[in-house]
Amino acid sequence: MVNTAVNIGCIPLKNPVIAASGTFGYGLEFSPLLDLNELGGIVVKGLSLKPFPGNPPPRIMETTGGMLNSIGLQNIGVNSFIKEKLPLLRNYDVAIFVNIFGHTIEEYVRIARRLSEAEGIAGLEVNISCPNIKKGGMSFGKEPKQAGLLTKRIRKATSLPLMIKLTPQASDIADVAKRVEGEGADSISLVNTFLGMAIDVDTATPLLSTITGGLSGPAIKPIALRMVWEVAQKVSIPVVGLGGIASYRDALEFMIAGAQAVQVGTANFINPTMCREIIHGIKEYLKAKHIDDIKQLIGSLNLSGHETTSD
Amino acid sequence: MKDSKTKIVFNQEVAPACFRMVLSGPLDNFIIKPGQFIMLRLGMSYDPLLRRPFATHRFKTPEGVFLDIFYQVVGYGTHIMSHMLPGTELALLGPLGKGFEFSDTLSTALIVAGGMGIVPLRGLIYSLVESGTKNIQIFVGAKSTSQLLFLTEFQGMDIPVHCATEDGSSGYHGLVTELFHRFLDNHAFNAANHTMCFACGPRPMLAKTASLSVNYQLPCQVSLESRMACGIGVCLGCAVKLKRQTHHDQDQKKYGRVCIEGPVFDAKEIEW
Repeated sequence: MVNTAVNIGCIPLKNPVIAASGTFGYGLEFSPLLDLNELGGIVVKGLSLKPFPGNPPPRIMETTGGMLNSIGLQNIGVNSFIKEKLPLLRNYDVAIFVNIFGHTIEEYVRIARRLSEAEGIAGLEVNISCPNIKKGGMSFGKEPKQAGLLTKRIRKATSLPLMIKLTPQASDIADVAKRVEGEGADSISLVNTFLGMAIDVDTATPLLSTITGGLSGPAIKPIALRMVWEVAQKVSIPVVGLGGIASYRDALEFMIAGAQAVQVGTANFINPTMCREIIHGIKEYLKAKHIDDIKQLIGSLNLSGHETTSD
Repeated sequence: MKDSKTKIVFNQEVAPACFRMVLSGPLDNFIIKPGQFIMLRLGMSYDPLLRRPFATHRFKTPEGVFLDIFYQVVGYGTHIMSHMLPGTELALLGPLGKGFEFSDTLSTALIVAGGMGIVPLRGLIYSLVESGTKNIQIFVGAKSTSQLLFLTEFQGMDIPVHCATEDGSSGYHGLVTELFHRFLDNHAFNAANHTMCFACGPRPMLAKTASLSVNYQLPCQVSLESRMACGIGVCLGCAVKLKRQTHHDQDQKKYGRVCIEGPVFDAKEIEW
């Protein structure tokens, strides 16, 4: 038997594979296709204080090896989630993370308080990285100072474990990571999508209604991996890696780079049972390599004979 | 809904840039309603990345159960599809979405199709015939005669087909909605005599059909198309704008997912 259990701070996961926010709905949508109990965790779609309609169509566009989205965080609101979705999610033995976002610090604080009263939540993932809303979201994640201030305020409002989701649009993502760590974050997840765009050359118009949108999918994986590697060396809280993971080997790369766990996002669209396949692949890999505990892999990147170009 | 492994058994051009693909697989229990759709993964690589939504029609022969897909080569994904060989395995997720709805008391069905829009309506026509709808009238429009699909098939079923072509190469010279408008002017169909309109095609054609149906007091169901990533309601990428339902919606914009609330909508729900 191989041990695939990991911990994100005080949150135990039976395996390191978590379904990423915005790609897995409220989890329940996948139950006809996948036994949710098999997953390490689920991060539900980003929730706001009040229901949010999202952006006008067109909202997505496929690009080479990836996709752009500008959903604009359409969601049912925190109260409907607690009333309608959470009771059903409690039937599963899987860590539920609730992704939250707001336009102001006060909104983040109020959602965090509201969720603190609910039962069955393993932790909050604080979205300071969505590129598709005008106010709030990513604007908090680009500036270390803003990110720190927001973390500090949410920290005071809840005792739930806080995972801060970072944006690759920050000029120095490691700096943001260190700052939120200093203000009481329990873990960090990175990266959210990269800001991108696509143009219809026949009409010379943008292919997304909001002109730009977030790029995800295998196309971003090498950049995401590099960022996870850099951040993991600079902070001592757990790092959860994501960005284009679409196979167990992709997942292992992030763990070897220093991630305690991984999130699988866009790949759930291509293959709704992707998370299960990744978990299976990881187990087979560990068996084949005679590694009895996955924790041995975390941060095991062997740099002997390599030189880093920085400094 | 499940994810099945299917195999291409046929993939050939049947009209200019229009291909027919036939899939086989574990389809004995695969029941799909007219108007519902499937998501097809185009191979094993990440390019193209996303699955593609298709209408499909299930049919049986002595050799087994098959799914029919008709697609037009319009972009990168369909270009790759058009080069796929029989024997290629494709993952197929479905059945998905909400199909067309009609009751056994329906006496007249007015079918309005633009271009490839006839494809999801073909399965509906079979169902209508089966359920005993007495009067079915098909209105189809295309750029040119060679792009009018299933004409002999429908004529063989003794269903009147009214054609319109933009180049005038057959039938009415102009848009199918103009032809439909003339028909409505000359016939007294309305909701009171159990008539329903079903439409699929390009967005402007559907908008026109929707407004005609309002003017002539006909209930109308439209099947919409949208860029789509997941097909199961989680990516929220396929949203279309819906009409606000006055008071309790306040100022909120309202969107519906083509993959869950659709692809078949009541034409009155859509903000055209």
